[in-house]
Amino acid sequence: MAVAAPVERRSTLFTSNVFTALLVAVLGFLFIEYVIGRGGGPLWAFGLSPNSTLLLAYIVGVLLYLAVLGFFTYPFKWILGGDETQEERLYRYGAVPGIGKYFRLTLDHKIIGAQYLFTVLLFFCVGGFNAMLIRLELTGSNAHYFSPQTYLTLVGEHSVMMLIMASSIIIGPFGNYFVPLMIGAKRMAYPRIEALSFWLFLLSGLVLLTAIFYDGFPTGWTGYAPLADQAHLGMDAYLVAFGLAGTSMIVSGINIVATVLLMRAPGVIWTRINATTWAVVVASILAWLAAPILIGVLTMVGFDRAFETGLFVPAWGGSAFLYENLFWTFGHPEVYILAVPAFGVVLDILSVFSRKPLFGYRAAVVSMFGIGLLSWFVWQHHLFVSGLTPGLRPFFMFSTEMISFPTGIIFLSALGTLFLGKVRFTLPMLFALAFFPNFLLGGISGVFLSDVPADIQLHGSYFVQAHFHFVLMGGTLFAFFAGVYYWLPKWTGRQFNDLLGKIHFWTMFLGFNGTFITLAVVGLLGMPRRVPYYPPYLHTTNFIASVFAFILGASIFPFLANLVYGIVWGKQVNENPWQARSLEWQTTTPPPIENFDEIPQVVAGPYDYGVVPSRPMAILRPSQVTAAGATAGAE
Amino acid sequence: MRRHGLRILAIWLVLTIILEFLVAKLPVPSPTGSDEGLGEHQTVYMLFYVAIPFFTFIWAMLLYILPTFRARDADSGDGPPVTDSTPLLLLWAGISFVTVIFLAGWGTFTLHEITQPDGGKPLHIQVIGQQWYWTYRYPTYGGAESSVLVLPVHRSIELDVTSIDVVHSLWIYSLDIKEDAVPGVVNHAFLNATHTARSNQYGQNWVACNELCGLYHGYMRSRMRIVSHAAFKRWATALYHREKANGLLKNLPKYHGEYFPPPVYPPAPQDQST
Ligand SMILES: [Cu+2]
Repeated sequence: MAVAAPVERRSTLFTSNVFTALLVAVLGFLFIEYVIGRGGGPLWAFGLSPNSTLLLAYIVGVLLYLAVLGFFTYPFKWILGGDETQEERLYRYGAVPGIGKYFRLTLDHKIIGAQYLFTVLLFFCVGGFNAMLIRLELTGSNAHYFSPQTYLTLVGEHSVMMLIMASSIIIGPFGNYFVPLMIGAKRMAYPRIEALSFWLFLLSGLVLLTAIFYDGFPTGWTGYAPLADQAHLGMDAYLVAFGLAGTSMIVSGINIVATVLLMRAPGVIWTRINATTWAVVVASILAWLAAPILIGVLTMVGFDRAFETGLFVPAWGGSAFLYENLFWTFGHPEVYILAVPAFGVVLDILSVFSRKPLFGYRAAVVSMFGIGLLSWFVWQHHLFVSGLTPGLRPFFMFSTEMISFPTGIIFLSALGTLFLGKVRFTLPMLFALAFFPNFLLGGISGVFLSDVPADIQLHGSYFVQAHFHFVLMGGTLFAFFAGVYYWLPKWTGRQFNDLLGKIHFWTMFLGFNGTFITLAVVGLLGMPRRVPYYPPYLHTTNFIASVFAFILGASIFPFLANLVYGIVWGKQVNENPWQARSLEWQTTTPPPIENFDEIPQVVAGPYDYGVVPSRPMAILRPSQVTAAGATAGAE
Repeated sequence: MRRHGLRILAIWLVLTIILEFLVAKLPVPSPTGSDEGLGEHQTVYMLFYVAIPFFTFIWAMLLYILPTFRARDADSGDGPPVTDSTPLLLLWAGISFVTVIFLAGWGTFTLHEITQPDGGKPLHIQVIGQQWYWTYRYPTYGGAESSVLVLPVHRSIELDVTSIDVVHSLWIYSLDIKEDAVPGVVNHAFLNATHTARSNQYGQNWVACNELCGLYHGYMRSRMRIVSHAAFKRWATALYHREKANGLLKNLPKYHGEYFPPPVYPPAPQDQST
């Protein structure tokens, strides 16, 4: 490419990429925390508590990281009357050879999608490793391997890491990469904001890991005050990490909603948007609205810890119950931010590999919005035994059970799509099909928990733990792997290995169901969550669950092997290996920098399989058609 | 079309009958140590009976569809372009809506039953959670305090659950009692134990903490004993006299329905002088 030369020149002295940004951020952090902060520094003398200097150090670190990455360069240049040159634009959009563009601030949504994919996998491996250590501890009924503090840190790191990771697991890689392709857009509405969402996401996971250096945090992912108020300094890492992840969710939500509202190609009317895009839009709206509550409540806990405001400390007139309510007002929509994108991915994949239109498309899309709406009215089901006016409990029981209504419609849509179809058992299809049995158990256990009398016994037990793993892992994670096997050939132009993929699928499916069905029984037998110790009568069941969990953990290795294989050596395929109709498959592989050579004119829906006469979804070069039409008219 | 429907129906019926039978026969772990536990026990079974037809329906569909509609190797064609079926959507929506109403109705009714003191004035026991143990106070015995939960059998009891530091949750698994211990809040749980019991070495019949409360959350367990009425009276009276004799009662804070938690941080020096 011709633009490579100026790039070589500008990157000789100081390369701005993830490594330099992290290095500068860590140096800034250490300077604030250890030179002028703790142990007699000027800030210490100024009377700031250790919590406040640590928070300040984190904030300075975050700003330095963003500055070195180059987030402030263009805005300041623009404010001062300058503008980017064409060369800088091409550099920023990754129109240069080499893999350096994957390690620095790049504004192309396809590169951001790839950055998200590998970060998600990294976080997943870290969180999964923590889960393995937790299960290792629980092979025996008393603490054998870790101290209680280490154990709680493992629990916290596992849960928050997985929550942060799963909030972006589908929106991040596939939403960013494919939403513009699916709606025929050249780019996202706000590329810089989109990039910001990724870099904050990456940083949030890394900040979370720094909690280990500050004695961890004892609260799990819920961070209940006042336990959070008395926790070690590691709690501040939790606050900053979760706050960064929340900010990332907000900006990502704004960008995706704006893109789908404003950037659709001509002819993309509402009913020609596919289920994945709709699902990502629903989750983005939820993220946009729910994450501010999270950030607010984390800020309040930060103030409690740093400045002793006592907002959640009952002895100072605060309220612990208020924290629980605020947290779950965010927490329940959050669950659907994780789950709804999976619905879209699974429905799309089922339609492609059954060779049939999506059954009940309109009902399914409206159901996704219905789930999003209902998710705001159910948060009290996390607090049935926490002190709500008893008279309100039936309402929250009803609203929670109502969620099974739109979810049931999505199941019907999926089954109706398979029925009478020509089902092909490809790798993505296997993972999409596994969604049913897994999510079915998640949904049914959810109905058990929504019922207050049953919930009194099951609340906070391993039954709940099994329930949300069925929903989030069995649903979202299986959908994610379905998406990887389905869409990666579009990125790489190569196909995965079928045998490795099937080994991955069966070990993961069996390990997963073995682990969490057993853990649901452990919950019914009376084991509370987040304990390093359990009574001897629970030993056998826990041991079985651990064995299955190790099988589940091992299933990542065939996947990683297959990922490398599929990127480097896989069989080369054409731009539409699945004969899918959806717009992202119609452009070249890999898609050009502006996705399409020309903005396509969309003339049909993404699901018209089996329709006679069959029409392509879009006219890919409308200018040639118009030119031909004009010529024909002139003759 | 009709042929497929009938076959799926047959698979569904067989699966449903087998699983319903299994659930009725297999003991679902759900203890019945109290009247309230009985109500919850029935609810858990009811939920199984209601959930199984839905569970088997999805499985029957999958088990039938996947082999039947598997694409033959040479077949690269498309399926029929069926997009909607209004009667089916309506039927599905109707069934799930009726089920939801039924479940919510049943749940509301049972909840009403188990959250009422049943008959007579209940015996109050205050349960105080703190890191990392439980304390039980008996206001009818001068506010005497014990680290073991002792309950009379066949007696209406009200547990007033609170905490003096962070959020805990009282879980008496064998009695189906769970109530969060939130500082600054008093939550009430009602129970009526159906038989005598005591904590054993295998860890059954213990009181546990069910909300993550810090370092030793997993070890926050206390023993309990459910004894006859007379034995309870003897035990409680002896406890009262012992604590009166050794001066403990005099030093304990006067019994109050609500415990105001002490500050998390030590008070500033000038506060102590006043
Ligand atoms: Cu506790």
